[in-house]
Amino acid sequence: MISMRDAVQEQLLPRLQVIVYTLVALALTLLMYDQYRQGLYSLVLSNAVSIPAFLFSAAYIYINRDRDSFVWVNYPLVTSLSGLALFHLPEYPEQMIHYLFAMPMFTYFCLPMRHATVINFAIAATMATLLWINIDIPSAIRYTTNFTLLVMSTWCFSYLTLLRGESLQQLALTDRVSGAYNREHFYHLLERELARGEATRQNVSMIGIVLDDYRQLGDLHGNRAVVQFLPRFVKRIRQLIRGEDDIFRLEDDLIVLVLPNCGEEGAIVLQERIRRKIQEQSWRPFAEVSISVAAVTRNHDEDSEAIEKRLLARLNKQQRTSRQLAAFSG
Amino acid sequence: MEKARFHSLVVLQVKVLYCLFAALALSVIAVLDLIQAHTIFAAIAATFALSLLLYALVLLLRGQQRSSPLPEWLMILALAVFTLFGMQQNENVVHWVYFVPGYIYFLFAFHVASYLALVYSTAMVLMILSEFDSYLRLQILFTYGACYAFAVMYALINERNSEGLSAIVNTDPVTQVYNQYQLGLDLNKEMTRADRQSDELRLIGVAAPASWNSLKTEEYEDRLSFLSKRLKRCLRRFDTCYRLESDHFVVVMPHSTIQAAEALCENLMDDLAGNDRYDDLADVCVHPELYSPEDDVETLVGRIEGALNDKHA
Repeated sequence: MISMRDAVQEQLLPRLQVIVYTLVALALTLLMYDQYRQGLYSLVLSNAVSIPAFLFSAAYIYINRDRDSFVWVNYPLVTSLSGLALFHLPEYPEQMIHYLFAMPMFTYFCLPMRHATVINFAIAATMATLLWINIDIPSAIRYTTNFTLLVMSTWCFSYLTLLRGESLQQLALTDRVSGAYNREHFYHLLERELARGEATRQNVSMIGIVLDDYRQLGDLHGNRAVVQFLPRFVKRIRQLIRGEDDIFRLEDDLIVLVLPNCGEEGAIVLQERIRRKIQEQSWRPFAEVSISVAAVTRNHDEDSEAIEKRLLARLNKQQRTSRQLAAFSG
Repeated sequence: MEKARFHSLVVLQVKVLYCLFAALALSVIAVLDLIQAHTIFAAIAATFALSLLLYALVLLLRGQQRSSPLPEWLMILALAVFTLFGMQQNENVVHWVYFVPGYIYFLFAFHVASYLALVYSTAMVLMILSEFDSYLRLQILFTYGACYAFAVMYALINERNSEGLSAIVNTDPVTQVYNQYQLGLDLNKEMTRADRQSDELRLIGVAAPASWNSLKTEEYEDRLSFLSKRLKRCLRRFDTCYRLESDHFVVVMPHSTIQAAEALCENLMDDLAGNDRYDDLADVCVHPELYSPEDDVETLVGRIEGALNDKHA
């Protein structure tokens, strides 16, 4: 499901997966007991594999819930479950057809949409072939048609929900994680401020702040720690700027401040104050937060694209210098 | 093309394609039922297929006009009734129960869908327990339970996602201008800047004709969207337009003289007067307002709304 990318959802999804997988494992235990009573021993054996697979996946997801890597456990889970169901299909067609009908909802819930679609069509093709060979053609056509329709329904459900989320996202002006304005709003506001600066002959400056070790922070402390850190970081910066300045998060690790009616000297003073205050503050659980900061002031007739480009170039240079200094001092 | 319109076009295309695909699949099932001499089931499948085909045609003919959700609700109701009663006659019908939770959670709001799914599930479980032998019933209940749980979780995540996004959507989806919440944020900043620079800050209130209030939602929103586009054309590059919850528009004009405000009002009224798309465009009301240092956002917006309402009256 592509809409799961969002950070807030990323916190909810693994928890829901843990709950559902545990519940499914419990339900499978009941089913296995029933199959044992009916003497369906190979299905019992198959469920004896599925239950630990679900429980292991739930535990793995719970442990790695703050890291992106938890998604990968779903691939072996889906593959082994569908493989087992297809393996038993010729012997127990009635049970296994019902079993396979749970796969579309399951795959679209736990995998990215494109992967889920490919897996479901592979299941449909294998199911059709096995039923064709082992039972009869009308049954193969009927069950495969029903299954494909269920896949299509779930695909539509996922796709349209994703689309709704995307259109809301495009109307949003704020970055959900940090609380700063987002890239969409940045361009509108920058154009407006540049036009205003032109009309009133006032300077417009920008300060770029890059979190130097952003990826490492996530890898070492988990996404949740980063998600909790970013609003605090933005709030601290907001305390250091004037009421008329705006703060934007343009990329994961890039924060940009737009400072209307602020000349080059003012921007440099503010840049240094931000650098000092951020480095002075404790950012637990992180030992330290290292930032690269650069400021630019609009040149005569410079447009928004050019000033942004100049800021990014200056930031890159600043980062290179910081790395070289760190290497020499190390 | 605007993003909102592009999305509604994609939604329409997906719905039409799905209906056509489902109609094709049901036709196949109808033929199979006919071959196996299940005439009633063949007729039911064919009726569903025909209904879906007609619905796809209606969607295509209506284009991007908003269509009522009633046909979709009726289709779900028919499917629910068919599965509950059909499974007593033919065990193949039981496959269709797995579609129901997904459809319900897709078509209805989360809390409504939860009640509907609960009622349907209770009836369905009772039917399964009474109609099917022990060889299959637990397997059917397991698969149904899994489909139900995944549909609930999926809907829950998307519900939370939409809630979270709605809180940060500060743009009005109909007119594509900022909403009142954003006006509050921006106006506070503008007031600080105006105070600091001892500069003039003017606001222009724009009210749609009172006669528009009696129109259907779709037509009303079309007209508001039209008005906002015309309004945006008259703004300077650093003016900003907002839609209030009362559906009035407010233009924030920093660094503005009275002449600049009057020029904007005149340009707007001239533009509207020269347009014959709607009859009552001349009834649009405008009201300029000047910010003074003792004002706060509420009093300023309240004053504009009061003046516009008085003009309407």
